[in-house]
Amino acid sequence: MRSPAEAVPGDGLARAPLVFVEEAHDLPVVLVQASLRSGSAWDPPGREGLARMTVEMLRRGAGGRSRAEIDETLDRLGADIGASAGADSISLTGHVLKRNLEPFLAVFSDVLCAPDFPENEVEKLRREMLAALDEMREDDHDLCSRHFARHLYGDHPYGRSSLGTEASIAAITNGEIRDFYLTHFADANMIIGLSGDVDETTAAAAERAVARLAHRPAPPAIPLVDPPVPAGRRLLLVDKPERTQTQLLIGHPAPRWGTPEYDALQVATTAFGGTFTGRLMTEVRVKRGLSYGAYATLHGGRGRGHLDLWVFPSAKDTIETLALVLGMYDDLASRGLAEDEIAFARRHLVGHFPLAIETPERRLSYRTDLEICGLPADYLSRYRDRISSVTPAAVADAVQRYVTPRHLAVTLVATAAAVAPEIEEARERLALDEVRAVKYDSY
Amino acid sequence: MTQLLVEAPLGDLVARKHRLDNGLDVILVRDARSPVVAYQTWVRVGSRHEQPGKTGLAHLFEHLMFNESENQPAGAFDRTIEAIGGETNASTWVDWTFYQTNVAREHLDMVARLEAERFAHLVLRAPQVTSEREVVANERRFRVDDDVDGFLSERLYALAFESHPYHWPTIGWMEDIQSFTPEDCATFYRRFYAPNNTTVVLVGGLEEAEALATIESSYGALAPQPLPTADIVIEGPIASERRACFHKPVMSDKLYMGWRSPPLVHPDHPPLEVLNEILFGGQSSRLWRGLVVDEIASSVSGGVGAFHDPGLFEIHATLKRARKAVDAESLIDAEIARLHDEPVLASEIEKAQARLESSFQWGLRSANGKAQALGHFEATTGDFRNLLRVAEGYQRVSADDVRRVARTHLRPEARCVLVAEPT
Repeated sequence: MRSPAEAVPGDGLARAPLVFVEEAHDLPVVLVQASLRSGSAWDPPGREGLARMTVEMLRRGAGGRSRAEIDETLDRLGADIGASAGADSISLTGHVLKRNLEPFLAVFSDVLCAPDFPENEVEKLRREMLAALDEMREDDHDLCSRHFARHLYGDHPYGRSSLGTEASIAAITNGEIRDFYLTHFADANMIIGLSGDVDETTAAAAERAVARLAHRPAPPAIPLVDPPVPAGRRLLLVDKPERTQTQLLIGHPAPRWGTPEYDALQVATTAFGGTFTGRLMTEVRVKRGLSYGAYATLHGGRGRGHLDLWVFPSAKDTIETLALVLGMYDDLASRGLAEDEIAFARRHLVGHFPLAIETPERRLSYRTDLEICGLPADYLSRYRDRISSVTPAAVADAVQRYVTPRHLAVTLVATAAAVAPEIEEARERLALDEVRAVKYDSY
Repeated sequence: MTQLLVEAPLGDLVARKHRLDNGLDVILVRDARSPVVAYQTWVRVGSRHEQPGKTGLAHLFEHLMFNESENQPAGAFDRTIEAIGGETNASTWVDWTFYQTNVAREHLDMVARLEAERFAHLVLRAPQVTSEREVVANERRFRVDDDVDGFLSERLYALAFESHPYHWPTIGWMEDIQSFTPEDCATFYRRFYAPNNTTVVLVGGLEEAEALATIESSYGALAPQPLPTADIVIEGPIASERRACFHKPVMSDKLYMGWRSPPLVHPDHPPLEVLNEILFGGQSSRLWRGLVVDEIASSVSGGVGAFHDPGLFEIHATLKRARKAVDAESLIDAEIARLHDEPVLASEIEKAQARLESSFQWGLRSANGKAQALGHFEATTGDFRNLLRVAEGYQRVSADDVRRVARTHLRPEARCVLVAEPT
């Protein structure tokens, strides 16, 4: 087993995968995970969806086993293997009953190390990816998030949807999928995670199971330049018919995870809208009943992420809610937070820590994310000290530097015929520098 | 005197149910390894206990429980829990309402005091009720009116049940939500929030004797109350197929089907769960292969109602763009007819059992997960040990059982079918 400190992603050196183990022997179940230091941010322009298609293809024929045989074996073992693709990482995750771990690892090994990429399954997956776009558009929050990411990040790799587009999915070839696999599924680019009813012997068995991975250096990490700060208040209206409610996301870039500025902004975000009694929920939901939820969230990753505000008022209350939230954000930037709000947020984050790491799966997930984002392994053990030591001055400084209420990406999913005239009428009052609309099924 | 009523193993732990003199039940599970405590209050009232014209009251009331009480100003409950890093939430369904608070284990005493305070001393004023009605109306828009799956699910139950309270949604009809008064809420509170209608479930890093003493000191002085008798008539079988079609802004057809299913404690429930797994559980299941792998649908799922009274066995499918709902319906019909006629394979039953066992174990992973599983079975069936009996019941299901429940419950004429087509 290697310590995380020895791993430097993308340094061109070959090495065995890292193995993380989180033991808990109360239940006879095991989670097995293979995570890559590559994700959909690596999708080439015009090939968005490639990372997801690659990881989805793995269990559709591997080691000479057909898709049907793999499905049959996993179900017989009471097991599953799921694929996921985020901007910074791709993962294969399996759940299995402890007594069936050995035959499960044989399947997991084939799927991870020896995929066959059958041509007919690639075509089938291509059609499934297109159907997944249809299903995404049925969920207004997912739809809003997709348009918001593109609106905020533009051409930055974090602006690309891991689901791809109709055009990019049509363009991806089986050869490109194989190349992506060969480039990224290298032992030096991988973190193997085990949690649950496992021990050193189990870990050794898992290491043997993945020893067939190609011995190759990790591919070069893609450069993640800072995302652009929106030029003014730019509103994008995603027009979808028959909406009785408006989904609304507002945001801008944030500092990088793991930096002191990130910690300080985390405290500020928590005080502003990270809890049920924060400013945002109190004003929007508790006092006015305008939205069921009202949240501020800081998103961290390998590169700089973003801070967003999410509310979903009734269609008739769209402008009132937008004006309220923008006004509150103006106020945060100009007047900052009170010391008692900062102290409360620090106590909340520190006190929440035992819940955040309660299960072995959560601990494993944290360790893996830290490794992928290049943060030190002691980040977790030092987390409470770091948050406790965030000063009001540091919070004020982070708010001053990063909270930009005059430079925001604003995205709404609503019915334009009902909402667009009201937006136009309120444009000056809301200080909107740009308003444009797109059809909901255009992206 | 607090009585120990029953105890039963839960994995490598032990669950014990005690009863206070006032009828409050307490289920305790000590897990010395856990750094947290899950504190849940299960009240045996849900939308099943409501009346037409007052639908959604149990759910609206759940929201109000986070408001003002005699000794705590509005918002103080959440603020105090959040200040120690805790999580609070609540949920209402047909048979119960439950409140959950998860905290680091050293805070159990404080949580018990706060929970007992709002349980017995809630203040219900007009401004809070008016504001919360708007919040719930927005929740309804979010979950139902602008969500095609939420909408179809609501319509399916409205079609399948005519007089039974499962006819209306737990969130309530919009016109009912917007008409509740503080008096409605106060009457509801007095009627149902009684110690003898409630179970407190505690799981995690606690000491049992201390935890029990804490509960006794927090709730022991509350008086039991006479509980209303449920005057609920179980509807007879559906005599002929019921069907409806809607137009929605969807990209492709959606199909919802439902048959009445037995209550959670009925002996037919485990075989029906196994049947559901054979049809929809995992990617080698019959209808995942027939519908998703063969590209008729992009997704398909099935589920058996886990209710006090007969619920529904539901099937949901989202069609591919080139396909119509009838394509999925005819395949589903064919598979159900096959279940009537042919015994399922032993290997199919074994797969279903392995998957159900796995799902059962993973559901118990966190302190909160254990408490929810125990609370749901206790509140729905009156005995948390049914959780373990149902899990054991899966292992005894035979091919004959599966055929019998298919013939009994999945008759072609006794179903409801809903379709949503693109606008």
